[in-house]
Amino acid sequence: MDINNYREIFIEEAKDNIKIFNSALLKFEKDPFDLTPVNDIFRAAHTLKGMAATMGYDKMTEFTHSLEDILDNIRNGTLKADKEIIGLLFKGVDIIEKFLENIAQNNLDTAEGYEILINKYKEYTKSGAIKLPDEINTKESLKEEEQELKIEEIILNEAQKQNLNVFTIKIILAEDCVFKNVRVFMVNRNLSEKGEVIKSFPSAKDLEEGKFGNTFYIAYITKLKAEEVEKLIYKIAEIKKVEINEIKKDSKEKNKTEEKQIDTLNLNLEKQKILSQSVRVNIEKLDILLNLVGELVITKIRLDQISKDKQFEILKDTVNEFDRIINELQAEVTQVRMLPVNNIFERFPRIARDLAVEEGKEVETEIIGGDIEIDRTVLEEINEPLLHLIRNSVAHGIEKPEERISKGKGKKGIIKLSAKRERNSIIIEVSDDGKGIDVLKVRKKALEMKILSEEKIKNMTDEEIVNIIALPGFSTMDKADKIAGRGVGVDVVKTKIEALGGIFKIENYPGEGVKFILKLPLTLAIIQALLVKASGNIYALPVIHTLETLEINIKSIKLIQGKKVIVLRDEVIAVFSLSELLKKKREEKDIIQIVIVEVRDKKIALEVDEVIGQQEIAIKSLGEFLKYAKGFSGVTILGDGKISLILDLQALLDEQNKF
Amino acid sequence: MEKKVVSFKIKDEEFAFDIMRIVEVIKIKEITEVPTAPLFMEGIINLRGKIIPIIDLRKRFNLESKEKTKESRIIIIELQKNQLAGVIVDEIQKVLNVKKEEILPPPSTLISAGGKYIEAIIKIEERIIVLLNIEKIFTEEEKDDMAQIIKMEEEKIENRTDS
Repeated sequence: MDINNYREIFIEEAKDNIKIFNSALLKFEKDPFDLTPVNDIFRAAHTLKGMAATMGYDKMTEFTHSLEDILDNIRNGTLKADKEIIGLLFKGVDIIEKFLENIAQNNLDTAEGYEILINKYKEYTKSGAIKLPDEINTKESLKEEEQELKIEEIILNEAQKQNLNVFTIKIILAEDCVFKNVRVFMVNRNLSEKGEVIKSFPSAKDLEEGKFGNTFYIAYITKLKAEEVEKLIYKIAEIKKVEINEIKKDSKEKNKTEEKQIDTLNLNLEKQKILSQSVRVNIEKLDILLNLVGELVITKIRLDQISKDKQFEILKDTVNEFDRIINELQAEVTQVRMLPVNNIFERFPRIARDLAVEEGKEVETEIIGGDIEIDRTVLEEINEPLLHLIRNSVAHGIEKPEERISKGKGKKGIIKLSAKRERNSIIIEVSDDGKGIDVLKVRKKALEMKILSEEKIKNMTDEEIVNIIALPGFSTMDKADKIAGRGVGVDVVKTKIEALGGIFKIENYPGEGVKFILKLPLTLAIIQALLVKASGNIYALPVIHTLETLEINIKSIKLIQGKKVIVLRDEVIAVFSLSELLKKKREEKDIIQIVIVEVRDKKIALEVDEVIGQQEIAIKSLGEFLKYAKGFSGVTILGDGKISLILDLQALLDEQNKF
Repeated sequence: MEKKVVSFKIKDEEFAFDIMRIVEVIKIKEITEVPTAPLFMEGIINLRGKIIPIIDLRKRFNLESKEKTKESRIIIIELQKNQLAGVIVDEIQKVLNVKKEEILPPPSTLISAGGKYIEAIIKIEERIIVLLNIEKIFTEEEKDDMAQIIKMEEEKIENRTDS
């Protein structure tokens, strides 16, 4: 197979290792006396080197090799990691990322400035190293068979948990052995009865075809002791010699994880408990799968309706069963598309740190709920917005160390990044313990910039003023500084979150910090919606935006400054007729149906002709050129095959300039 | 070189689309209105799970709309990027084989309801068929033009009041 086919896998796996590298390095920076993270960093660097070498990226191999050298020196204590060295290591990850970028884009094995960094690394390894370069080299060039038979730590851990022994076995066949492959087969069969052969050298295929000398190696996991294994193998004819070597967990340091692909002998494949099995699947295939599940859900709803309408008693059970299976299938497929938020969260501590260093500040990022899972499309979309918010916190929120101390705060600013699940949505919060938003300054600046009318600004409460920072083009900074303050940022975040069908809120605690809250749908494909009728058509309202439904008498609608409002539990809420928003004629009735919805942090009462009920809907895109049909975020097909438009109230209200 | 076109009728005129762009022809089915869409857009239909926008050519050509009859059809065509769209026509005529020399540039004197959506003229045995440009039908330029004109007019009025 062409090596290019592996490139994608290479990049994916390299990215995983970079993540490990980064987070371990941050840990190490926090406490340079604890060398445990260095082992993780070293392993990541080593894996990256091995992968780059396998792919034939010589420059990247050279670079990671020099990185590995410096890490080795830190690990064995010959080099003390000071600020400068840690800085160099951070630069190292950046270079690896650059390598990956170039490889991904143009398949170019290069990265700007990598040679300079190699030379810097060499200075340190030369002056600080006790070991001679030769020695390092001999250490690297382990015998081939040893390399091939390296056992991943995860397997060793698992084996230890289950009280199993792990051996590497060298088997020499008699010189006059004719059917070498038959002997291999018998060895494998005998051993597989009492354990599991997990690796071999040469590969299983070569062994099967007899393509090897008289010696071969296998890695074996079993309950048996070494002597018993030896006996088991000697039972087979034409075996000249068996050498057994037990692998213990404390010798794991020797077994650096090598990501080489080794076929397991595919003879006894029934019990593959120990090896974790996973497959990488193209995301497009998952999308197709999810789309099909969406269709199934629609058909299910239709079937459900038929069985109810026609009173088919016999069908009822089958439909219920079908319903259960589809729900499970849907949950599973949705689950497959889910990724833990840590996938993007993990990068932020590093980014916050770098920004803080540039600004002469000190920042620590705490992550809470990093294992909460969210649809990967949503995750990709919120990466940028979160980055903006973190930049904002570092640049505008967190004060300089001296200022913090004088205020009685800790020297280091804390940025908290948290994720939690709430029914069908995910709530992500970015908060800092900085100075908060200066409401007076925002008010003044808003007046200066004439972002809203003077009268409007004067009448706004402090909480409302805070939301001005999310208006396009607003910035409190006098000149654009490097990080944020160009007046883009918060408004971009808000637009993006709202486009995803989410809700964006700002909570300000003057002097104590700011909290940005993002409420997002769990997935974008299938959502819970409230179906409502207006002017003869059925529309779907995402449940995430709805608060309650009620029935009111027309008389309880009051007029304030020409606008219709109702008073609900002492709260004044503006009333809009859905029919009118859709430029249709409103039906005059005495008793009207109201859905209370939340739009832009505000409640509005939406008058509809009928509330049909809640159900899950599969979202379909409106397609390329219906994008100018404002006010709808998509469509769905109802149980009877009819189309229902999904309302985007924010856009609909904007369109009418009623907000 | 021969070209195959599908001809159809709107009011009393004959029009045609290039057959390579046509996916299928279906009978009129329930069309869901999209209230905020441009006027010429009739709505959307559900075609075996696919959502397809529909244009009524009568509306596009500014002709009086007509009750759909049992001859009315929706021609499903493919636009760029695999996007499907439907066009409502009064009646499908037939598939024609057209020779190269029978395809002519539209004469300036031609008066057709097709207006600016004309791609070429097909002249077979004294019959004149208007070959339509599919892309032009589905772009909203018309509305944009209108908006532009209105805006310019408004500015003029503003300037006048200023001075």
